[in-house]
Amino acid sequence: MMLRVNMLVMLLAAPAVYAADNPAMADNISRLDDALLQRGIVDKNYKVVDQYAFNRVLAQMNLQLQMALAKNNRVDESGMTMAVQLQPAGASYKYSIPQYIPDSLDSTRSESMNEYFEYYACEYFMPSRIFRKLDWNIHIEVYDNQPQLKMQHDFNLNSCSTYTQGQPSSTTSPATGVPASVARQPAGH
Amino acid sequence: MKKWGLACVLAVGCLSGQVYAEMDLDSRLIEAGAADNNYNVVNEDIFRAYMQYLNADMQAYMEREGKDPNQISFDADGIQLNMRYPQAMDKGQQQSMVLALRTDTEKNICRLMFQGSQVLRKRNWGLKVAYYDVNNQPLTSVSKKMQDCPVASK
Repeated sequence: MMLRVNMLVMLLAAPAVYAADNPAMADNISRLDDALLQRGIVDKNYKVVDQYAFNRVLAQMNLQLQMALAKNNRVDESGMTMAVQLQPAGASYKYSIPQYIPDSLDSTRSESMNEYFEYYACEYFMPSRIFRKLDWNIHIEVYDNQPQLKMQHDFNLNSCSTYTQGQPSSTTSPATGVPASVARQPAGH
Repeated sequence: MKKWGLACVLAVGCLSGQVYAEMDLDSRLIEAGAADNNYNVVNEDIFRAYMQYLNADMQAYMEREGKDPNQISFDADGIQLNMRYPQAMDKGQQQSMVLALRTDTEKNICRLMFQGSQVLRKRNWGLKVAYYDVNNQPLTSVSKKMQDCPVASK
């Protein structure tokens, strides 16, 4: 009987949570740390102290990201598309290149692709000390037009330091060589 | 025993009603670009992100209220409820408990699910209720998909 009472109380009170306390703090990743610090979700060392609230913010960010990608930034000039999902343990990217990629990618091109995708993920998430503190993992998958998985690359956000000094050696899309915008996250989201 | 089973079903009913009605889930999914005006999911990524957001929101709320956040979880495919019977039972009690739970839940589950959102109905969303004893040992579970329910039970 106690369980019923608890469940009902919980369920009746739930809409207040949905309606209130819904700040758009994720509109700019560089402001995330301060916003979470102010709300007591992380401590002054940027360590997460309220895991469920953090997961909630992350889910909200993920939703905003999906909506922004769907609206305008999903495809770049070369036709390459990007999908990205945020999870508590990290971010997962999926790129689709509208060209056939041979199975035997030469190491130079493979490295260049790794560097290219890694740079933009680092550029987006590096400003947050919280994600670095969480030792975030970035997972990248690249598919060709078959579609077949042609490249997988995993790296830790804390290995990004080498990419903060400047642009990657190539800032053109691995698909066609056209300067790409899709690898960048949607501005303002 | 039977009362407790009904209480669980009631809780499921409230939850469905709460989520569907209070949140006006269909409108929000359409606004977000996850579904079209015919209630079809048109953007899988947004739909999944929305359900992930609901799940995180509900679990954060439960945590804040001192409840076990693992009692309820949502995802794009359905909702799972984990209910724990708060008293120890002997084997005979357990057997009649399992029977009562299944009977009550199955009788009511279709009716409850049909209170729901058009988007989730078209999506053939699922509901799974798992019951555990006081020691967290599984007692029984019931699963339904929206399209398993006869139209007459609407």
